[in-house]
Amino acid sequence: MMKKHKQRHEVLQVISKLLIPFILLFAFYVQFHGDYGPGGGFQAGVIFAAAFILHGLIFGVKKTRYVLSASILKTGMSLGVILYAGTGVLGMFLGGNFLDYNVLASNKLSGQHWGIFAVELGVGLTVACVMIILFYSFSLKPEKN
Amino acid sequence: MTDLGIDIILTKQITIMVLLSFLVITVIAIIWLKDLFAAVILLGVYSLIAAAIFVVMDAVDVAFTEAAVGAGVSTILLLGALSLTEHEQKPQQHNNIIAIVFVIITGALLIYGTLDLPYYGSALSAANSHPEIAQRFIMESYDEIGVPNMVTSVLASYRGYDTLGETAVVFTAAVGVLALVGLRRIYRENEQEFGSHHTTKSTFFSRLSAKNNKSKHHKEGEI
Repeated sequence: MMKKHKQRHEVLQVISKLLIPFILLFAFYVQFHGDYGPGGGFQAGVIFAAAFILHGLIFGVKKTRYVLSASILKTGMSLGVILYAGTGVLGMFLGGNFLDYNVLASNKLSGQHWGIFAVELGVGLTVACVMIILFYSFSLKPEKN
Repeated sequence: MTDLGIDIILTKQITIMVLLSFLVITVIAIIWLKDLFAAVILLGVYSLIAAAIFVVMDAVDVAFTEAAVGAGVSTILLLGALSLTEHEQKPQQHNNIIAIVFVIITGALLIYGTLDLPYYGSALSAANSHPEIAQRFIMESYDEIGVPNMVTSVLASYRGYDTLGETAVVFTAAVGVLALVGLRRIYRENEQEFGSHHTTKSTFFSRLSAKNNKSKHHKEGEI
């Protein structure tokens, strides 16, 4: 049964193996180039998740879960929210308001730059992990107890 | 110069109208279809058309999100949800005239509400009649934030609270799905399966590589 499965998807497997690194690279481009062009954390997270979802569709979700386990994703999606809120709290500790990035660095503009960078990273991390974990939970039938 | 501007606006309006009529046709098809698989694919088409409308309206960031989330990931998630249920809609057992009356009344009220809205690009719209908000973002956001993309500076800095809330909503959605649907525990059997064959810990990249995968398939075939 497995052999049949393999024969049916061989072209797709080779092509998706070629594509997945470029999809991940594009996700990073959208993440870190969001200041200059269209994009940002949300879109980048979704594109990053799309690479893993493609892997899951072609090679089976079990293999994808072996590559990127659900426990890592649960940690990641929590870390993203903590990174976002933590950037805001850090601004409070440095003497500003909540989510005030001006105080994060000596210069106002570079403070804003670092603040937006951290916040977008948090959004991207949360969105990517959430999308992949949603795909995991909808792709396999839950155990019947 | 002004003629050219009017031409561009007219072309945009016509394009938007054509795309919006595509949207209506797609929605009617989705309601009409009994095959849920086709309905899910048409929902992806709907999102793609919506993304095209946003591009025409110069909202590239929103179009990007709509295309990636609406046409991409949510279609996959709905297909995954379909695999847990059936592909065909159940035939209607009861008569639901009350439901359609309520839907028609609500729809009529919503259309009535849109009559008060300003037209696309109108000078009376909230964005244009309050220059202290929109104009300020356009004129001063680069000096204040130092980021060329205004959408990013509004999203992450001026409206940082909103985006924090959105991130929390996405997080909460995942927590809700995990609590309701849950994850199937496959890790233990997988570990046994792979553990018997792989003595060395394979890394992320070696697992992606072709050779490793081929051998795994072969071994699974033997099992």
